[in-house]
Amino acid sequence: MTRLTMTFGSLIAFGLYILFDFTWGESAVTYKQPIAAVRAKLETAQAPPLVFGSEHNKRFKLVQNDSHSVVWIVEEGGKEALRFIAHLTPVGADATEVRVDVSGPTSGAFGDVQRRLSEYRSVRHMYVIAMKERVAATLGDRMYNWAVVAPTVAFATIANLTGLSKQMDSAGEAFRHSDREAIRKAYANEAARQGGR
Amino acid sequence: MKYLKFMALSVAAVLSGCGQPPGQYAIGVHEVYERLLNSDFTEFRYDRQCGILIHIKVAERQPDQSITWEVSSIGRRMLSFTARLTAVDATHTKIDIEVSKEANGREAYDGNQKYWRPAVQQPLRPALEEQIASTLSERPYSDKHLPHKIIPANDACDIQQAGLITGAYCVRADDPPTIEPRDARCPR
Repeated sequence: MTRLTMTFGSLIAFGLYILFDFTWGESAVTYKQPIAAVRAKLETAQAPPLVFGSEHNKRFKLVQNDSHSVVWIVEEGGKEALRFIAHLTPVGADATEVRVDVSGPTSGAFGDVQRRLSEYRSVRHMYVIAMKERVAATLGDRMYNWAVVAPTVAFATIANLTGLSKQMDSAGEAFRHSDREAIRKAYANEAARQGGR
Repeated sequence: MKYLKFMALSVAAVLSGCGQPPGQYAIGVHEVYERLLNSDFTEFRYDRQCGILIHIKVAERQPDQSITWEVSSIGRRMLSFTARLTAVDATHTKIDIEVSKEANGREAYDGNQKYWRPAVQQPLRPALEEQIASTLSERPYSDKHLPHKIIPANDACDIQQAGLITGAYCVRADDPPTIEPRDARCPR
């Protein structure tokens, strides 16, 4: 009975945490640093780890840095897949409010990513929380704290198990197709060489 | 009517593989021989290839008794396997698979052999059984029917395969055990 109560209690606590996180987790944070310093530090920010699935073939790069925002994109195979924006608002002379958001292209190589971000809110939330932690770590001159992001990642994983499974199937199929194509070409080259002799 | 005939044939094909002792099929020996003689190894080769380019061809045949296929690469014999047919009765055939032996006396590619330049993924036997079963059932070969695929003995296989798939390097059956990537640039 005690174990059941503890399990049930843990689930409620996790649910409350997620609810709190969804409600306030994405809110802006004010850093006691002037906007010029914030911009300079954010130029060096790296990708938040372990939230993009396979890191293979993905590139995180800074594409914009002005007085209102810093923008990074995640490229996959040279095509934009996601866009992170840190909106900057000066708070007096020596503080800056930073609000992180994520968006995606509505067409192109990956289709309507923006629509999927709206549909899969837990995944969108995970991206924002991960990037927000990356921004906080960069501005705070500290290591990225995975513990801040882990519950959100866990929730996004649970909430999207079916979708993830489909994505993995689809990715697996794409890899198989590309592997087969490479093998087919190798045999075709061999046949062409033998025919040319 | 055409669909009914198709359904009946499909059901018959499925049932032919059901409820039989291992290696036995509810098909007459001549039909088994004919189907195996025309067996298409394309999918098998995609699934089991190890990075070196291989060719699978019928090397010997004895009508209604046996067919031997040879796996070769750049004209070099890598291994062979044989399907021996035994008529159980007019409508049932038992098939025994024999794989060529290595110098150590064990079956080639039995799952525990070591090769510098492997031709196919180990263990080979389950894949051959699937090739025969799929041919006789007139369905595509599928690795989903195999019990397991990746085992430690496939290390060299995986490395060679990665080279071929990525196009980074292409290994040949006559390459020495170690070869510099610059000497193995694709295509070779």
